[in-house]
Amino acid sequence: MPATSPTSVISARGQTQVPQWVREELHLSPGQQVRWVVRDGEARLRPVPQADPLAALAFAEQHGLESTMSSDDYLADLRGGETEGAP
Amino acid sequence: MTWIVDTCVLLDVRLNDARFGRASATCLAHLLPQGLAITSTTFIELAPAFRGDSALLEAFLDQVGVAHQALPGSVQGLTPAWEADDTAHAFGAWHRHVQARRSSGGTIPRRPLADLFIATVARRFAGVVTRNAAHVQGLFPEGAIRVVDPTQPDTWP
Repeated sequence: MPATSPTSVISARGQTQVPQWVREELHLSPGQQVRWVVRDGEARLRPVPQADPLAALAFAEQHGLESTMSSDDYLADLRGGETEGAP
Repeated sequence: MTWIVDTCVLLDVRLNDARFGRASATCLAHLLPQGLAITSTTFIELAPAFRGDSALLEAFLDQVGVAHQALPGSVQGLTPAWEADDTAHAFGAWHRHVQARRSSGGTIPRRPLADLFIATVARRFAGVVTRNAAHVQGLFPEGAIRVVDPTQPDTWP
């Protein structure tokens, strides 16, 4: 069941406070970048990780995504034969 | 100034491609301080690689450090939106490409429209990061768009 809390108030400048228990749950600290995603009438707040392209090589394994094709084969499949001449 | 990342380079990282994965990730890490972004074309092309889950794709792009303008309210800061002037440039480039291909006797291959959309936006940025330099250079005059090839470190700025 999702965790909930007493309501927060939006100020005239659009600001609101992230409750302490949410900050602790998401390990948010001052200066942390977060991303807002609005979907189905709800807003989600997601911490933005420190960018690291090399660490992203493990993203698929960490998230259970299939990775058996080569990227060139994958792209050729996406673009249907339109990659004629691609190296 | 921000670099536009082509779909193939992000697929290299997403698939941890045995041949190109590390080179592409290393190149992106090298360019990260200058800024990385993708167009909506690339965002859409990547959908099947993330089970059609846009939140999962966004999490991947956050980890790579790539800005994008995909979903309303999902991005802050610099995003490479399509502009009216882009249509005029893409219109001319596509005409020139098709004319050249038809008169080449088969030596100039077909190019996907996705390449055109990505390259057209990239001309307003630092350039494009791609392993398919010929695709970009075949659509716009030589030198119009700077190309960084992850497999060719001598092209890295």
